[in-house]
This record gives sequence, C-alpha cells and structure tokens, in this order.
Amino acid sequence: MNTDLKVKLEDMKAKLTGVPGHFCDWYFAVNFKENEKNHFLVLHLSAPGLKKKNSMGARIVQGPLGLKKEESIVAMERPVFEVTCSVDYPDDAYKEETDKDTVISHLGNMTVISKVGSWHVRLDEKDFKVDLNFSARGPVVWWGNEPNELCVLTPGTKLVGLEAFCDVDGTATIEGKRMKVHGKGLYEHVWIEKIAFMEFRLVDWIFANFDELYTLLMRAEGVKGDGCPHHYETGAIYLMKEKKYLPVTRFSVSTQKWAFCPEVLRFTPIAYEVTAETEMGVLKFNFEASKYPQWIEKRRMEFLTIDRIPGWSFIMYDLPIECKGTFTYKDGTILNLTSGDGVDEVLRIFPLL
Amino acid sequence: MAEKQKTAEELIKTIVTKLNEIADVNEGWGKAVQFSFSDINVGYYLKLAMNGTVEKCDKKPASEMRVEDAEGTVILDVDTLKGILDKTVDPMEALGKGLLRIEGKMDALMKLAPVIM
Repeated sequence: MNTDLKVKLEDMKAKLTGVPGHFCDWYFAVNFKENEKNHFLVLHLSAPGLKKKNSMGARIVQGPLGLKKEESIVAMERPVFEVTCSVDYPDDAYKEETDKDTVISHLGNMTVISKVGSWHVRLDEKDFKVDLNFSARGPVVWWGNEPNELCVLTPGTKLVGLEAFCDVDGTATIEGKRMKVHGKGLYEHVWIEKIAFMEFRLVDWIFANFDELYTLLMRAEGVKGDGCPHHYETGAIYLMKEKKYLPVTRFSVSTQKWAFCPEVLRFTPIAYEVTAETEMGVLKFNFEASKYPQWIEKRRMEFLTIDRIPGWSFIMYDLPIECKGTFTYKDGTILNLTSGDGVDEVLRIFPLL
Repeated sequence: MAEKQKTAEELIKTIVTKLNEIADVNEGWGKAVQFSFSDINVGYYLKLAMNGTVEKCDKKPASEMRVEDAEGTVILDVDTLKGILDKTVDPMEALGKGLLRIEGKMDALMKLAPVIM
C-alpha cells in the first residue's frame, strides 16, 4: 500500500452509519474534451444525502458557459447540452462489500469499487451509462489537513472530508451517444456528523487541477448563535514535480465578474482571483466559469425571520471552472501553470431583499 | 377540534422528548422557544433549564402569544408539524410556502433546527 497517499481503505467506507441525522456522500467530477467540446461530468452517491434520503445522481453539461448582454446586465444562457439522471432509494438500499484491498459500494444501478488511490465508478441507467476509472495524482487532501480530522465549519456543523485529485479515463454513454472520457477530476468522500445550514452565509469549496499542481481551498463564513461571525478555512497544494504536500497558511479569494443566473434569480460570481500562501511559495490563479452551474439547489424561505430580518434564500451549486495562474517559489522562480480546470462548490444563504 | 388538540399535545411531547435528548447541546442556554398552532389557537411555551432540558411547558391560546416572549417562535398548523416530524413534509419547502413561519434570534433557530428541520 502506498502510504504517501495519506488515505486508507477504511476511509472509503460508509461512515457514521447509525448516527441519527448523519450524511455520507461520495462525489466524482471530471472535466474532459470530446469532439472539441468541453464537458463536465459529475456523479454522486449519497447514503444518505443532505435531503435525508439515499440517492444517486449523474449529470453532464457541455461548455462553454453562454453569456448574453442585455443593457448593462450580463446573464447566463441555458446550456445546449445538459442531461441529468437522479434516483432516490429506500433507507436500506445502500450495500457495501469489503475484502482485503477493495470496498464495493452499491446503490441502485451505481457501483463504486474503491481501492487505496483508485476508484472505479459504474452507472448503468437507460440513458446514462458511465464507466470511469479515477486514479489519484498524488496524496489526498483532507479538510483540515490531518487524516480523519473532524472539521468544525460552524459551531453546529461537524464533518470529515477527503479529496483525491485524479486522472480520469473511461466512457460515458448519454442518450445512446458514446463519449470517450479522458481528463482530470476529483473523488470526494464526506461524512457529516451534524450540519446547521442556517449558520452558514457563504462557502466556497474550490478545487483546481493543473498539470503542475492541484489544490483544495475552502472557506466558510458563518454566524454563531450570538450573532458574531464565524470563519473557517482550510487548504493545501500538492506540487507534482517536487512531490511536495503544502498546507496553505493563508489565502484570499476575490470575485472579479458576476452574471445573472435566471434559475436562482440572482447575480452570482463567474470569475474569481485567488492567492494562496505556503511555506514554499505563493499560488496565484484566476478562475472563470467554464459551463453552466450544476446541481442547483435553491430555496426561498420567505417566512423565516432571523434577528428581525425577514425572508431568506438558500442557494447551492457546482460551478465548473477553468483556471490560469502561477506558483512563485520563495526564491522568485515562477512556475507557469497549464491546463487548469476544476470546480467551485458554492453555498450562499442570505436575505431575500 | 378536540382531536387536533390531542394531536398537538402529542406532537409537543415529541418535541420536548427530542429537546431533552439533545440537552447536552443546549446546556447553558436557558431560554425559551414557543410553538403556535394557528388552526386551533393553541400555543406552547417551552422553557429550557440551564442543563438543556425542558423545565417548563405552558399551554395557552396562540392569540395571546407574542414573539417577544421567547427567543424563537414557530407558527404552523397541526398537520404541518405532524408532517415535518414524520418526514412527509419538507420544512424548507414549508417555509417557502408559508405553511411554516419561524421568527426569532439566530441562537433560537439553532436550538429549533435539530428538532424540526
């Protein structure tokens, strides 16, 4: 077993089973080019998910993100190709088998075969068939940096998360059309002991996969029960050539461009600038939305009044991204980063007004 | 009406049980939340002790309740609370449709969320 990966077979299994109100999620995402078109394919297996149900889902969207300008407003256009497959299952539907070096997870027609550092995911739905191999490009990134660290995102939200940045190969057959998948992607496994959504105001989980490095940068801005702000951040960078895992000591994220997203009736950011500091140097990159936001979850809570503010909105989505940037070493050497892509998982909870 | 009142009584007992089960989480808070059933004009005022358990459960007409009397107030009908507790009603959807109204301070919402969200 390659211990450099910082992950064990045990970490692939369903977690917290039997704990009331827990969530356990496996997530796969890949950016790839097929027929000169960029695609983002994402799959999840939740046992149970945030909606308290066992569910499986898959979704594919083609880029680029279409934008149209109407007077002073830039608005997103619905993608020309976007297919979704989503199925809910009964409470006892998730099955797991383990042997010496494999964990096999089954939910309906989705199967995930996990080994240390590689994952084979298969989906066999009528119009959505997937057969993909995810191979870790290097060590996994644990939220909080230590394996199995329980992260307190807000006072009422405790969870463990791991991310493997992967090379991805395989096929997807969508509505009968077979596509070869070859790209960089992400395996995520998160188990949540408890979550207090209304303590969040803003979260970005930024995953960027360059040829030369990969990075997870996560920030959460929340509110404590006494109304005071609560901040949580974690991040790491892995340099491929040096095989160096670098916890991020400080990072900043600023938004550069916004566009109106009709589905959530809101302006949402479509371009960001990120700076992340480590002991070996500084990562600076810009990322832009490369496709239409995916897995949009939205709620208008018009009859919720918190601290005398009436009407709240909940928005969560995955934003496929393209990234460009550099890593500047302490001695001033600049590493130009190439072929950057990834995803920004976004959560926003704010007043409706 | 009598049947609904009986159901409301049972639902509040369930809420009290749930709050008592997470008493360790609510330890040191010592404030009150209230439930107002708009369809039967009945309300319940639940005061938590400093050890996190429910020390007082007072019933009174909903029309006499004021949101200022507690840190958090939940306004709904009996069927909606029953649906939320037996998981046939999504509380977030209910909030969007006005079937459920919650008014209060952030800390009260955090105490209420584990039992009704």
